[in-house]
Amino acid sequence: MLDSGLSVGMSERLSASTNESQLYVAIKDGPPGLAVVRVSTTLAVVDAQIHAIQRAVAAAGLLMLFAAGLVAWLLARVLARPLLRIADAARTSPPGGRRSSRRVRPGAGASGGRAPRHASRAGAALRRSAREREESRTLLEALSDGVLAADRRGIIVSTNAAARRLLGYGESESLPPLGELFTTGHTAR
Amino acid sequence: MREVLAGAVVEGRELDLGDRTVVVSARPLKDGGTLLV
Repeated sequence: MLDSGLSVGMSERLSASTNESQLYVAIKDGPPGLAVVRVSTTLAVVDAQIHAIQRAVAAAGLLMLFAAGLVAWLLARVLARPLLRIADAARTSPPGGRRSSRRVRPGAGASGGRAPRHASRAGAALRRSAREREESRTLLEALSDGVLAADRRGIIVSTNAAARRLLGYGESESLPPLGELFTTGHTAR
Repeated sequence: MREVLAGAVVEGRELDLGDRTVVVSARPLKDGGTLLV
């Protein structure tokens, strides 16, 4: 390659004699008597420096990649720690119950937790509710007046013994809906 | 009976059972049902 404007040309190619990369420079219009001056220099040193820089860049890139991976792993561990604690708590809590996050003081025993107290209160409330229902049921059955309850569609959902007797239905017989049970009606005088 | 199912308060209403007549009072329940005495 020859630059006619500057009268200088350069090319890089493999030397046939040394078998290594050489930079050839040709200068036109040299000293009187010489049409062209050609010089060449080996590029081995330059290539070695380029390769060294390439290796350093690659090593730095690998190092950065490793460091980024390490930072990402540490960050993920820090962020996931609360979630892992929640998952552990969910695994160890009893089914259907809520586990208290407070630690039980050593020596406090089973009565120190809130859960047993709540369970005891709930059990007492259930027993009280069942007793009240039984009392209401007994009172209703003892009434001489017939009492029956129907849902919004008129389906009879509850009766007492007097109602079944007045309406002519046995203990195990099911009553028809209100609309079929009573046909007509007028206000009593 | 339509009134009772609609949630009306009924006092001393004679209702025909076919072979007999009963006097019924009704009160609407909170869930939309009815209580008859």
